[in-house]
Amino acid sequence: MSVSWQSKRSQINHDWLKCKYLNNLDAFLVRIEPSPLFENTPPILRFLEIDFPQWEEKRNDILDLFRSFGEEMSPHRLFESTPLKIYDSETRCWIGDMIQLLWINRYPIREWTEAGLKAFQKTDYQYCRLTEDIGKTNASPKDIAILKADFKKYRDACKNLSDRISMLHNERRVI
Amino acid sequence: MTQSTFKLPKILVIDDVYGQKSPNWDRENFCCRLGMKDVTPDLIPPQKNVEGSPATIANAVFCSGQILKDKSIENDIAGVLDIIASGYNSNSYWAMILLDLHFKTGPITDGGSAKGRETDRDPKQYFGLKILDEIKKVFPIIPVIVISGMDRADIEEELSEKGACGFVDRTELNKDKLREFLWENGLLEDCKMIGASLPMLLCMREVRRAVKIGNNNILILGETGTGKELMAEYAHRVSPKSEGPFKTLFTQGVPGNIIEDTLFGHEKGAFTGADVATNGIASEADGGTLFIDEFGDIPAGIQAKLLRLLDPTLRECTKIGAHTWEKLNLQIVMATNRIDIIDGKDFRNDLLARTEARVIFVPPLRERTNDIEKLCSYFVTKFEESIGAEQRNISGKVIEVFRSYHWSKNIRELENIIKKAVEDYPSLRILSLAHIPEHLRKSVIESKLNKVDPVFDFRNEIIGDKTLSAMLKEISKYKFSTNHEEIFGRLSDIREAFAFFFASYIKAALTCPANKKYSTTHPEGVANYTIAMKCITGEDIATSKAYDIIKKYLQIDDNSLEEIKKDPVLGPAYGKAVESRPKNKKK
Repeated sequence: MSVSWQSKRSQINHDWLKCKYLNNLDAFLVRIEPSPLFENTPPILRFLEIDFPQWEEKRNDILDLFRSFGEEMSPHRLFESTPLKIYDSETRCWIGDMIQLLWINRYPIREWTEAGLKAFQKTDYQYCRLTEDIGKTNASPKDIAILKADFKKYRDACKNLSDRISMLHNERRVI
Repeated sequence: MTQSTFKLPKILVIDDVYGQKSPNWDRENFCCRLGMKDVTPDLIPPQKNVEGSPATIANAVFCSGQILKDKSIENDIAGVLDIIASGYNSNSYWAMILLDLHFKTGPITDGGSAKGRETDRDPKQYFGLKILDEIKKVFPIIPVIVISGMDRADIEEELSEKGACGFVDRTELNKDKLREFLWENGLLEDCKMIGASLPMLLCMREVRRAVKIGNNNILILGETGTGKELMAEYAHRVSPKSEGPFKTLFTQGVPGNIIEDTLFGHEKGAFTGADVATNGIASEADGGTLFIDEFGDIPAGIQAKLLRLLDPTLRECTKIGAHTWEKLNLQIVMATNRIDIIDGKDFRNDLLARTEARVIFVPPLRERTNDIEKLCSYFVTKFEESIGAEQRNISGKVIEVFRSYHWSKNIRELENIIKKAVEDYPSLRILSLAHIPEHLRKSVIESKLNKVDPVFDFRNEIIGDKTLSAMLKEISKYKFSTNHEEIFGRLSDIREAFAFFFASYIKAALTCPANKKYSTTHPEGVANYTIAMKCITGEDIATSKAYDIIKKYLQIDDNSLEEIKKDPVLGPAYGKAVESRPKNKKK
């Protein structure tokens, strides 16, 4: 349902990705730059153990967000609730299809969705690569600091992903 | 921005996520990435310095803007305003507020946060915009930067209308960006110049904005002894030209030909006695700042050459006797105590207009009374050290007298009084009333007899514990009960109260230095009625309208008018207004 799609979008992008994940990732990058001090060990390890793996919990929801956008936020869904559901089914069908077509032609829905999926794949790839590389180290702050360039790439990928989610409409638009 | 010149500012962060009670991991990380030190009183465990990265650029206090009500988290505007008020007083001011837009409300989830309501996400109902609205009404001076992960396009117009200084996506906010916001908008104290009062903080902010590009012309206006040269040095220190030289040209009492030679230099043989070529101060200031003190004394004879130097698109000078022009890269700061120079019709006014000088007013000492105690301590220490005198404290009564005094010669006058007190009594350990001049003590007693209410201080806009805006809001919302006894016969009291209120407002405008005109016969200035009334209306009005305003608002109540006419400032103003606009005059 569209309301839950909007809530999901807000929960994932605003509540989690921007307010928490990217915030904590940025702080992590500050702590390992230029080289991690001893007293920063606990927060660095905490990030690696608790924050960083949150991607695995959220990845499916993010994927679903992009895949379901075209259907959930299509204006033809307006005919499923009042006041437009008063029309007979035949009318709802052809007007709904027409509005759907107008919407797709007016906005680059397909491009947005494809760009979003691409951004997701890139982020996921970076995450998997980093997880693998971390696994090869002792996971001490000094070892992790060697991976800072890759963490920065991961950060950029997450930011790009957030921007792609932000481009998706947060309300149904007919015009 | 030269970080080291600023005292550590205090920022208030209003955010539902980061403002939640400590321990708050997200808040800790937010501080880390922005270079802030969390000094919120709720810290658990007590603050320890965990920053291993570059220096802290600000102290931060966090506030969630919400309260818990029956297992539900709700927005709390009154609580937010209380916290803001706690950091907006004569002892300290918030340098800046970072304000979130979207606040989640509703029943508490298992994770401890609010579940969220649909209305929370509606741009028209963002709680952050409501807070911004209130801040602009009650604390309009505090700069607000909106930080949010929400879409900016939905609220762009409202942000602008409600007076936000800036908007930044929270994922793009970093230490450099915060530093930039602070530098451009923050109320920042300086390490080398005493100034924690609101007028000084605002003045220094104007200076920073004026020198941002590093190529502007700046005109510093202020009464004698207000520290214009110090402000010029501050302008140099905070500008992109701070690494370059700072050169000063003194013009007061100096003949015009000497000024020209000092400023531009000369070629060998340019005039009798010019045995060697010399560079002028303008050339020596290349890459830095040229400070022209007492710009009002610049002679007309060098106007043409000065124009080419002041013109930011040209910025060139030529030596006396030379035929070529040298291009320079510098900023020029000018200072004068001739506050009427910007309204005058002489060539200097023309020069300023053509060279687009940014004008900065340095407040007189009587408008920055909150700085007096620190200034006294500074001067006492300075003179104690210079003559090896005993260290002393300053009596509270002395500070009280100093804060009530008019200080026509400003900081220089204060410095001289302290110097004399220390030198005359080198072995005493308390600077008391007996050590300050009698005329000073007398003048303060007289002002008290004139019923000047020390609490009612427009200069800092604080009235008791309330700002003027807060007080006006309370008055506008006051609801009379329908109790006959409360209503009966109160009209005259209310009219009298408003009559004195308006009289005080008009008097403040008439005695404000920026609204005065100066002349050789009135070096301390006399009220300019038209400028004063323009000031209070905020609009350009005709002289006749100015007199009408004075008449209208002083005539509110007949009984009060008799009292008001006895005032040495308001009496003549009312008389002049009636004389100029005699229709319906009251006797």
